[in-house]
Order: sequence, then C-alpha cells, then structure tokens
Amino acid sequence: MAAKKTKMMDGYSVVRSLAKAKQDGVLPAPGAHRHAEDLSSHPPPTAMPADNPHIVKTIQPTKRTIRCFKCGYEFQLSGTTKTIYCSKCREKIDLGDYVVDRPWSEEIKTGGSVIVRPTGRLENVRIWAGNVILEGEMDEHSSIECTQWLELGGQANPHPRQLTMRNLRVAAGKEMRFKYKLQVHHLELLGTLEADVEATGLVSIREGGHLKGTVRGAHLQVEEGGGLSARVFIWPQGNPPAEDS
Amino acid sequence: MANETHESVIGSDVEIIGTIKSSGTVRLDGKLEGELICGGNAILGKTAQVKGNVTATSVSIEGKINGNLLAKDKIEMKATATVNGDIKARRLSVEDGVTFVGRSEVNPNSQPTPAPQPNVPQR
Repeated sequence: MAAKKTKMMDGYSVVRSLAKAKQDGVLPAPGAHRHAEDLSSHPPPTAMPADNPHIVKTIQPTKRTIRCFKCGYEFQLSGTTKTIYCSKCREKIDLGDYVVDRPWSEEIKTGGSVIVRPTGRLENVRIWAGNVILEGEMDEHSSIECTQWLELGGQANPHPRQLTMRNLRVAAGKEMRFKYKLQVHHLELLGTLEADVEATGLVSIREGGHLKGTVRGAHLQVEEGGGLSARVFIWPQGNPPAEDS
Repeated sequence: MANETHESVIGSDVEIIGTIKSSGTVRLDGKLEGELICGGNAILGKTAQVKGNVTATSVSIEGKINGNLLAKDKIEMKATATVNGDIKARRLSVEDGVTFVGRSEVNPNSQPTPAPQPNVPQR
C-alpha cells in the first residue's frame, strides 16, 4: 500500500485534496475567520460606479516620435533606449543625446537631442537629430536637420538655408531674420523673428516674443506682452484667402 | 460719484447704422454699421457684428468685425473672434481659434499710442 502513495502531487490531486478537506470540515469555510461586522464594513462591489477604474491614477510613459533617417518612416517610442531599429527598413537609429561644448567636426546622426553650447562650434559638419538646441556658432559649411524641434538662442546666427526643421523655437533675447519663406509646423517665439512665416500648426508668440513680417496659417496665439508687427492671415477654417496686392 | 464708470450695453437685438461715441465703456452684442469710438473699453460680444472702425482704450472681441481696430492700450481677441482689418495697439492677446486677416502693429516696447479723443458732449 505504501508503494501506491504518490510522492509528487499534480494539480488535479491538490484540488481533490482541498475539496475533500473542505468536505470533511478540516478547512474552515471561506471568510469564517472574519467577524460579521468586518465584512459589513466593506461596501459591496455594486456600490462602485460602473466606470470606476480600480486603479485611480495611471501614468503613461512619455512617447516621443522617431523619424528614420533612411526611409523617413515615423514611429512612436516610449521609454529610454540607446538605439533602436526602424520598424520599416530595419535601419539602426542611435537615440543618444549629445552636448557639443567645443569645436566639433564629426557628423552626428541621432534620434535624440543635440545641444550646442555657447562654447561649441560646428565646423564643416552635418547634424541630424530629433531636437537641436543651438546656442553656439556654426560655420557656413555646416548644416542642421531636425525631425522635431530646433531652438535658436545664444550667439547662434546661422544662415536659414543651413537649417531644416519641423518646429522652430526662438529663445528669449534672440533676434533672428529669415530672408526666405519659413515653412514650419509649430513656431514658438520668445525672442524676435523677422520672416515670412507659413505654419501648418500653431504660431505662438510668448511674452517678450515679437514677430515681424508676414504670418500665414491656421492657428495663432499671442500672450500678453508678445509683439506682432506683421501682415496676418490666420484662417482656422482652411486655407487662408489670397493675399491682396 | 465722479469716478464712477458707466457701461453702455447694446443688446443682441439692436441694429445701429451710424457712429457711436462714448466716454465710458460700451458693450456691443448687436449689429453696428459705422464707427465705434470709446474713451473707455469696447467689448464686442459673441453675437456682435461690426462693419466699421473701432477706437477705444482697450478692445475685447468675441464677435465679428470688418474694420480697423485702434486701441490705446490693449486688444484682446477671444477664440470666437473674427477680425478682417488692421489692428494697432500697445498690447495684444490672441487666443487660439481666432480668424484674423489684416495688418498688425503691436509692439509692447514702443511708446504708447496717442489716446483716442472722442468728441462727446458734456452732460
């Protein structure tokens, strides 16, 4: 008989053992150890609203848009990682952040950010990045291409043809002049910009910012303290009307 | 009593053809074909429609205006505002959603614009 005893119990045996113990009264009934008043202190589940999320607060990780340098495919990424492969063309994309605080002549290609400090200088180099903050100088043979935001500040005085960006921010105290038509998605001004602006997104003039020239787009926001000396064509319903001669 | 400010209200069911001059604040919810000259503030409500120029110390717009705006101090465009005309003021505030076609001359750092002088007869 001893040989028939199982040394290892499978799941089914465990369930059967527990059911038998409960039947024999070895195990107490569920909740039997609690007093009645303890149970009554808990509201029944039906007391909660149907749409009540049991987790009151959820924090979603911030997502950032990555654009493949090779195929141009855009995708969203949350969390932090050093490198990623484009989900379309499998190109390896560096996502590191770089700070340039000295003369620099090595190409940077990253989906992350590049900060060129006032002491930094770009010399005959091409920068590809998600976001760029340009406070230092760049020579005429250098160029910057941003897939997201380009912030101009400090001593930076690049030629507009050297810059390609989706969104532009002019930092406080900075004066920038674009001779050519400036086509951007969002434009945020904390400094002064003189340009012929065509924006598909929001043109935002913050306190201390000033826009001179022409602005054409769908959305304009001027904070109190912002200046606007321009011909304005803001037409949220669609394309702005043709400019009067 | 001498410093008491008066607000003149023109309701949404009122249409005026001509010039409105006031030394105080004017709130306009109706239609105006002509000029509005205020020594105080001009408030154009959501239902306001103006065909003409508006001159005031400060102008707040929620409705539609076809004409130029001149404010000694501030122009405030709410999200529902539609402005077809030129604006000139010392300060400007624009909410996202406005329709605005015209020239803007707003420089907070500049010298203040000469105050509009409405020729209002003394009561």
